[in-house]
Amino acid sequence: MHNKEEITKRVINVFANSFNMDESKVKISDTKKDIELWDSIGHLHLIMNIELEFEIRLSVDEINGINSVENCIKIINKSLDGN
Amino acid sequence: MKVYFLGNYTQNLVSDTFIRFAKAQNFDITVYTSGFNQYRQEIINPNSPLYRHSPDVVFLSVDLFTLTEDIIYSNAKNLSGVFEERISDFLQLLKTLDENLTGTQIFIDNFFFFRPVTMATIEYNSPFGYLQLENIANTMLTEMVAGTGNLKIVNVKSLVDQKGAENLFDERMHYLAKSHWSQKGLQDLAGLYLRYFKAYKGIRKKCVVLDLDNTLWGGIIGDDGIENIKLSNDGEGKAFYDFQRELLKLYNRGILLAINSKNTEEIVVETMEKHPYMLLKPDHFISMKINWNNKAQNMEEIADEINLGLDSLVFLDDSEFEREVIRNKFPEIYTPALPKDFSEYPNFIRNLDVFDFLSLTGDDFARNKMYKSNVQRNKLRKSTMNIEDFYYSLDMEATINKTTPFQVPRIAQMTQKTNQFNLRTQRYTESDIKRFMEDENHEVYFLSLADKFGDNGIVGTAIINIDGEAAFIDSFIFSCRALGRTAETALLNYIIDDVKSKGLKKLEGEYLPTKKNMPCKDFYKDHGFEGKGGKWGINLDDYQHKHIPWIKVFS
Repeated sequence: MHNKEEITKRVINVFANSFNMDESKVKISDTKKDIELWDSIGHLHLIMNIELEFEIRLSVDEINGINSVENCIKIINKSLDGN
Repeated sequence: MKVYFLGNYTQNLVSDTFIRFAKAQNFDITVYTSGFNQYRQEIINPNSPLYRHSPDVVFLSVDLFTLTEDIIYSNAKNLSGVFEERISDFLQLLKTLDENLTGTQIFIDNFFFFRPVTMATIEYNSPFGYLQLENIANTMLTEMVAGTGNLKIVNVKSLVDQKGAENLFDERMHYLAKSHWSQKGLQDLAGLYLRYFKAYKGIRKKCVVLDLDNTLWGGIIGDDGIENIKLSNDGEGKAFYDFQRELLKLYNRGILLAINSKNTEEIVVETMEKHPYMLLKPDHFISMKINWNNKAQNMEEIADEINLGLDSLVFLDDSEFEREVIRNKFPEIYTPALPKDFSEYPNFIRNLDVFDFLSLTGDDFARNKMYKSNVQRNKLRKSTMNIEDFYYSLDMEATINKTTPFQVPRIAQMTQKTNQFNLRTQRYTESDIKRFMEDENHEVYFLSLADKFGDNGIVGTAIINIDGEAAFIDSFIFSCRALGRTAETALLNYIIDDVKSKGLKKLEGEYLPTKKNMPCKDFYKDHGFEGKGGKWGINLDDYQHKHIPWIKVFS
């Protein structure tokens, strides 16, 4: 089992780096609409950074499913537990 | 500097990575990225963003699979004919781009199929396998590029061969993002682009400073003796032979070599002269510091002797201790760790990415000889009594003339690379120079200099721009290896005579200060020009030449 709190922290850090934001500005409830640089290219940078950070490989369905910080954390946890 | 990315798949991911790498190395660049698959419109339409931004550098990346997908999956009987026609259409477009962007450096990826095909048993057993098609496309591309001035090929195919399709490509990206590169692939591709960008800017290391024991040969020469060191043309000793061969190849391309070693000089020189597999001889080294001094002190003397900035040196030593000594004292010197296993030494040199050229001129090949004679010249200077005797003792002969197509690559290279004696630091490409040559209001001059120590090749160039009765010196550039010998005066005198013979009345010039061009600050003042605020001029009718009888001038 992975430490959920620690994972949340790391996800927020990846969001901040991917979208040029301060960590304190990233909220769990943020969706694609709330983050300015989260467009289609930004999405791919985010996915690549997540895969690098957590050493996981997401499927096309998982990649397409990520549309908020909250469900991103959920999908990462699921992927980590599955390994 | 403006860089434009263009291609037939999503370029943003590559260009974003390129920007990150370039910024990390402090390059001041503005990057534009064309919309997805817009390259045809951008090239054909004269009002497209591509032309409006007038970029300095263009990276054009066209994926062969996407370009020819419909053909390779068709049942066309004449597959290779249709395929060649498609490539030929694309090359026509490339030609248009080259013609429309005369002052721009254009980089084009060579072709490769990014999807696995090599395991298929039919490859090489049928006339039109993927690999044959790939070869056809690359042959056509290479032939076409050879006839142009601004195009250079980026060898992405070798990157793919070396690092492997499984590492560099990502099918998810192909379907989700219309870009076949994986994260690792993007980084490697952007890194490769940056190498070409730096080669275009002329940024490279100029001298490799080498240790000896366990670097140029295996073992300790002072303990083991000449017969027992590892250095041979077969077996494990061949690794050191191959390592030396790679260094010799760098030498032949104009990279200088020097030695900084704790050893007894006589033993080393004897080894170099007598060992049958010692490829590097004393003559190959611009400077040899073989003694028991501290290596930092030796390094200082080497840099001083060859008159190069510390940031153009590379230091190779098997000892981490010695590398740390140099890194601490001279962080500007590039001091990478040699591989622990000497069998990796030759590949280590092959993979070093700090000696990149886009093209080699005759001067690059001859550079080693020229630097070597410079070191001898400086020694002579120390021993002669006064400066005029020194000038006479050099037996200098200058050839000065208007530029012909033969000198164009070197002249463009000088405008790009020379920083110290460069009065206005205007950077030009080969096609810019050709344009000046063809324009009746411009003249492009060159000066090549020989003396008793050797031929220096083209060391000076100037461009003037004529407007009415006045000529303006747009560029006046001298290579630092030829400074201090008054040859710059010879070039100025020639220009003055030439513009006078055209019936002009005034010659004007300007000094635009940069961080590096202090050495030429007083050039106009020293030659009797009048002026202030960086603008200088003379009336041609009253001007008296500065005499330099020690240089014989030919034209």
